[in-house]
Amino acid sequence: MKNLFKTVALAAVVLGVSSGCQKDFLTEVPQDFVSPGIFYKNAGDATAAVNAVYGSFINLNSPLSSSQYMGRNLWMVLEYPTEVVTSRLSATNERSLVDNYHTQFNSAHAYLQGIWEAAYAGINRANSAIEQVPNVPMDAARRDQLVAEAKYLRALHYYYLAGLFGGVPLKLTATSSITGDNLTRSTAAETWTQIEKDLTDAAAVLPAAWGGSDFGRATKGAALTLLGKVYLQSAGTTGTAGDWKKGLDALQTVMTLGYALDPSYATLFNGTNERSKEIIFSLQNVRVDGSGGTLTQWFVPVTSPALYALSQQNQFQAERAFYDSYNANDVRKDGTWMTSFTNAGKLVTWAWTSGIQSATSYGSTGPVPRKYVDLAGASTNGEEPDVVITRYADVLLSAAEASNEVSGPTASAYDYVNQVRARAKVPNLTAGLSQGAFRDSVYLERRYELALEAHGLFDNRRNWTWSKARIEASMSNISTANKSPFTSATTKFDARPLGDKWKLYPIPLRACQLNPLLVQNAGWEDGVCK
Amino acid sequence: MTNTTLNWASRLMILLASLAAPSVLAAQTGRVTGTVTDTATGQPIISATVSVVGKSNLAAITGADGHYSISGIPEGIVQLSARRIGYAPAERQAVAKAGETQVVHFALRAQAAQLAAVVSVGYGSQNKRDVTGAVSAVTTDALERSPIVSIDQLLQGTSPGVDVTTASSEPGGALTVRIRGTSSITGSAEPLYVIDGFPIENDIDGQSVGNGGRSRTTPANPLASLNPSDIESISILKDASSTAIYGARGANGVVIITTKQGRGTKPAVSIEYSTGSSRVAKTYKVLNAAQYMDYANTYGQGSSQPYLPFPDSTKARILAAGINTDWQDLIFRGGGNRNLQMTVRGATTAASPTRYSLSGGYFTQDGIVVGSGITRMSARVNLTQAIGSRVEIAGSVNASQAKSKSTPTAGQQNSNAGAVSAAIQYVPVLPVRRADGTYSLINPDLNVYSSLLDAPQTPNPVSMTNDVTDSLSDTRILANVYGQVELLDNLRFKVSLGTDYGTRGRNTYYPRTTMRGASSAGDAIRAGSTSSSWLNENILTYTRKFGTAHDLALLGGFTRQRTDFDGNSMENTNFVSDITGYNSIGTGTQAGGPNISSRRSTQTLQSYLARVNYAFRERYFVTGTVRRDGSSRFAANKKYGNFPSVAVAWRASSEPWLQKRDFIDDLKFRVTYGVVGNPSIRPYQSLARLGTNGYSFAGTAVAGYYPTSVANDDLSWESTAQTDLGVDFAFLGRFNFTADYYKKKTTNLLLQVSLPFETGFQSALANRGSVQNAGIELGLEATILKPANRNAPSWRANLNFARNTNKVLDLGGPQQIFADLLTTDYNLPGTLIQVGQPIGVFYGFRSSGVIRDSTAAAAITWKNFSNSTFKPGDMRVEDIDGDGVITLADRTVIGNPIPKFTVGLTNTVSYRGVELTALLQGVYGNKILNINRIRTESSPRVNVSVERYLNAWSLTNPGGTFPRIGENPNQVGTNNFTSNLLEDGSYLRLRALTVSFVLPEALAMRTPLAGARVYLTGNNLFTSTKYVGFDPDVSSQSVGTTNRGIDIGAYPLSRSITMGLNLNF
Repeated sequence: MKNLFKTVALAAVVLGVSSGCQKDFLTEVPQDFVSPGIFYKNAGDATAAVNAVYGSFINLNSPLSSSQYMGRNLWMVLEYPTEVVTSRLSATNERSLVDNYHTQFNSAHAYLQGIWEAAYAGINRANSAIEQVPNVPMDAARRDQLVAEAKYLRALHYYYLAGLFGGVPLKLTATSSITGDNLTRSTAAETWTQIEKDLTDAAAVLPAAWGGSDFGRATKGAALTLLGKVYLQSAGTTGTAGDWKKGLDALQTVMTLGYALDPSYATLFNGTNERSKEIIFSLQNVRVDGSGGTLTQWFVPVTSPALYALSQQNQFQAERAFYDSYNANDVRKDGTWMTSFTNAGKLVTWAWTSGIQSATSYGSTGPVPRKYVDLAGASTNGEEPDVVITRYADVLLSAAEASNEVSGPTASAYDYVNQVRARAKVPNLTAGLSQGAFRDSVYLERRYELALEAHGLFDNRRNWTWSKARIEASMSNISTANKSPFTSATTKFDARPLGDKWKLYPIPLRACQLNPLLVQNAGWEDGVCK
Repeated sequence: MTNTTLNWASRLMILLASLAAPSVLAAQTGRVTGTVTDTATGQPIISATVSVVGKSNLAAITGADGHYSISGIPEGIVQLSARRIGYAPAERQAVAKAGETQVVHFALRAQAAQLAAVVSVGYGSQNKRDVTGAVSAVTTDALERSPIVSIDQLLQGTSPGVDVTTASSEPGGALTVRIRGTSSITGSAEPLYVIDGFPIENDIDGQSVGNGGRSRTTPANPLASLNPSDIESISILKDASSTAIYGARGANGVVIITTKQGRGTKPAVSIEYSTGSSRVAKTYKVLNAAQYMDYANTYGQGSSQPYLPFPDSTKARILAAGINTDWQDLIFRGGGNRNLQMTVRGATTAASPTRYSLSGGYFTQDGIVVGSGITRMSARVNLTQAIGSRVEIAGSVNASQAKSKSTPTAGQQNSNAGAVSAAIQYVPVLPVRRADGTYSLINPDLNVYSSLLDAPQTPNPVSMTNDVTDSLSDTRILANVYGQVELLDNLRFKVSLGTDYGTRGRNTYYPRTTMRGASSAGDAIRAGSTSSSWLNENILTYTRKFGTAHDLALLGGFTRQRTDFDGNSMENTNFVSDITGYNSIGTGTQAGGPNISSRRSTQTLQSYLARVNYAFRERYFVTGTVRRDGSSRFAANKKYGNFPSVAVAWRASSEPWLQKRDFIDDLKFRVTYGVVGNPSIRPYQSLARLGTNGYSFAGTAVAGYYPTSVANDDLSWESTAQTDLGVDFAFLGRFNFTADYYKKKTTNLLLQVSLPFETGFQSALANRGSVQNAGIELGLEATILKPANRNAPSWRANLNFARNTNKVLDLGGPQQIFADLLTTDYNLPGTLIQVGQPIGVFYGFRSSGVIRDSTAAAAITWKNFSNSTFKPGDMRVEDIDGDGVITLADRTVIGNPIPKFTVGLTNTVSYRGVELTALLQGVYGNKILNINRIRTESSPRVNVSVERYLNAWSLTNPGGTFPRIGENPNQVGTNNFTSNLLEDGSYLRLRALTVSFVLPEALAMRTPLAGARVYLTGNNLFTSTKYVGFDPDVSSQSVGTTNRGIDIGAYPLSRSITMGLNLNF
């Protein structure tokens, strides 16, 4: 029998196997797609890896769509909770649940899940770049910049996560296996510290400005501005008092980098002034399907005939009390809200009394956003205006806020606010305010200056007592002021008084189901997140 | 040759010699001589080997006169055997006496490579009676009995445990074959097909040309290219013991197809011609124009905003104009088919004979839906050349081309609806064309009568059948060459090299006259794919009888296979005119440019295999098999898998104490166990992928790459462990009974598992979960009337029965997974895969008949959907969760598309050359989701079934089985269905009835003919079913494992009559 087996082996060797015995006969080499093993080999690959991290804000991993993150839902969860803007939908609509601090709002809300997923998908893109790019043979200086860009972008994703949910799992390595261990939540302080570290690293390497074709990449100013805002958010929400000073330092450094307020407020958001000295970092949109902004259809009013050929949803409208509170000379009122437009050759004018009504769907009962609206977009995700993440007015107001916390309402703190007010054509801030009154005035200034720019909720959380009172007041007032014809006033505002659980959003239910180690935020317990 | 190889070769010879040559006895010896002749011709046979059994050194080879002579035979009784390739071996006894010469003549019978009693078992064949596993054989006899258009039809109803479902009855349409149930959820559950030893990679989605936005995809049917007339035999390997020799590919069963080889001595020519015609077997009964208008009026008056779409004046005007369009009648036609086959088979009589089989075939079929049809041409050459008595070289080439034209029939109910869906829905009050010559459209033309009718955007059915061009071309070449050397008497080595090369092309054009073409100014799609597969096999077999008690057969082998696949697809719209159709696709001016894609993949397989068959005194049998498969598709950590099996059998009838029971011819018990795999992972799935992602800097687009999927270094085959208990019982010389019980448990199912969001990925393919199939199979072959002579009447019957129960045991975490949404405009939930249930059950509301009166309504304690109260004439819907109101939470499992059992019965009665064969086939206990009825039983926005109108509940017809007009019996809310839409899919069908007449031999002898036969066959003449649709044998949504048993505009079944003639020369 032994002989027989020898024979078999022999026959295979002698007679057999025309195909030859390559060792790698069973190794798969991708042919019509790119796998990590054959990528990250040169400067072009490294740049492409980092480009995709920028893309993670507007071009999400399939099957996520941009509307689940920056393209809409993040805007909704950051803007609706203020007294500035409302969704105008029925009380139990998922948007109104956010708008109205509704008691039915819970951890299963689809928007929270989408944001969580989208942010971590972006973080994984950043992690891959941060891991792989340092090994790429290329110009070392450029390579370091690429890593720094990725760190800035990772920090931006974490900034939104930490602001919305508090401490989150810190995923800092690229996912390479399906059996990776689940992560636990880090504390809020640990999360802010990690974000600060990424931004500090990035600020040390990134240039103050980029040459022509690289316009739009993250700069030193972008990293420092976000770092300043991160310190403020950390100080305001976790009580790390020392962070006010660190934040002020970072923001004051930004003031030395050549940024300035733009004389024309409205052009910052309409795609015609995207390289303004005021804009520090913005998501780069172009009028190409899939590579542009997506906000127009949610912002423009429902009209017949259609104002906006692609789609019109009218899900952001001004709250009346807030709209009426603008100073009559404030250029920001007209720069932020639209009350008349030309439709099919006819001038349409909105008024509180008549609104803009449509026969087939809900009309507009409040003024609608002007910021980011591009009625000539190539598609519903092909709009021109860049989405401004940080700009110099925010730097000034943030510096005023930090300065006030560090040393009270000093002259420089007043100067920061008054620069912004001057550009808006409104008189200087009342002199001689107390520290508390100055603080509230800065927050109010931020409402006017930064409305519809996705800062509202984070501002609320840094100054919870002030915000809570304003929101509760707005709620009691709004039902008669400009309630939706589709909304029942009696079922709308049932979360009053606002519980403190609203200082954080719940961890998404599905995230908990998939990662049992996640712990739920106080007040949002859902039986799944322990 | 180098010195080293020479050295190896000489050592090999020494090894072989020492193995095969026992010591020679130098005792007193005698001599045997004789002649070997052909039984049929009486001619001497050259180069036959005559040997003394057990003493291979005592052998001789016949010369030109067929004479042989062996000397040196020790005294005593010896067994002599005569063998010759192409002939059945014969044995005779002789008594050798010292110094004397005995004369022993042999007459050998020419035979094909395999007799009916021999079955292919994978890398070899075995006597059927010695097989230890569960193997069904379809013999030549059955193959020649009736005209067969495709081979899978032959499997339908003829073998227990083989369940064939028609995905589409269109010419060349796909069928699904399930052997012993479905044991995969995301993978393929189709069996492995092995054609003349070549395993055909049956990768359903890999082979399809890109569907490029068409509503229908047609997976390549691996058997469609094979000419049924070329088939000699089919073996179906069902249990793990038999399929383990195919290792990682054996879990879904294996179908081994052997084509006809040359045989006999003189050329035998066979010509077959048949022609037939077909008609649609059944249509939907929908309302005529007058009835439709009455229905619409009744509906309108009862609606919340009462309206009357067809007042008497309008009605009279339409009827007076003679408009009463029968849309089904317009899209169906009389089909036809013609089939011409020619075969020449034979062998030369030289010392080293050549056996040959040449065939050519032409088959064409016009489908019963206007615009559909197929033409297939095929040619086959099988050659076998003997070189001496120990070497054989053989080659075969099969080339075929099938060109089919198809009409979109299946699919959605909205603008993508096919002709059949549309024809059922289109209203009789619309003419085919408007006054200006353009096709009428239900929307807007029906809305003229009332905008409240709000007809769907469904294309005109006639525009689909007459104007859409959708042509598919399949070319396939399967070629194989092997050399076989009988190194020594018991040891054979076979090396083979084969290729399977196929190209597919599909071209589609929607001109402006169609709805789709109108909206895009012409829509052209072209897609093509090429797959080429190479196979090298090296097999060594050793067969030897030790004494009279021990039979041993060993097999070892090494094989390699590589398959490359290329595909591309392009689509363009906005053409200047329809003149060029899809032929000048570059002239389209689609905004943003044409859609273009291409793909390429390679997969390789490297395997080692071994099998041991041992029999003791023909009573006790043991088979052990192991295959080690290495596949490129398996992940880095799991490149190789081992697939072992073992079988034991006991032939009780050979025990001395049973041998005297005359009525028992054969009684054998079998027990087998083995583990086999299903590798249906698409290539590269274990690797991480990067995807592109755009962004822009300074207003200019830049490219980005990021990880879109995560690697799974452990991704591997689905593993199926199967136990089989079987018994084969032949008795009274007339009955052959086979029974099997099996239990299969498949683990490591390939499933998409959800990953924690923090990974940055949603899901990944992983091996999780398990499913179980268990069942029984019974087969009975009976010779009810055994003919005393060739003119006496005979009656044979073949009955089979199979029952399989399927159960999902584990889904790796979640308790349920939904299949994809059904692609209709309703977004109906796909079938449900739930732990504890069979794969792919239907999920919806349970409805339970019409509420007859107010008493019955009052007895219902819960509220209807949206909190309304049940009223007489409503459909009663059950409150499953008991919360007092019908909500989405009241959906539940409402039916199973898998039959409880399947049966097949073939009867053959013959008398004096006239033979009648009938194949009855049926399934029992399955449910069909008939989506066609959602529309046709609801509002008059489309046409309505006669039954729904005439049998509707009303105050005057409280016994009506349909709810009152205005209620939709099939839906609750939107995007869900009720159990009312499920129908009993049981059926019993007379699949084929053939009457044939064979020319009596006495008559044939006066002609140049060797034989002649004429026949008349009817297919699908009769079906007994409660199903109201075209055909209960339907699965129009899927040939995969989920979303089965669904009917949306499936191509209807046809009933056909075929007349044929066979001539043999």
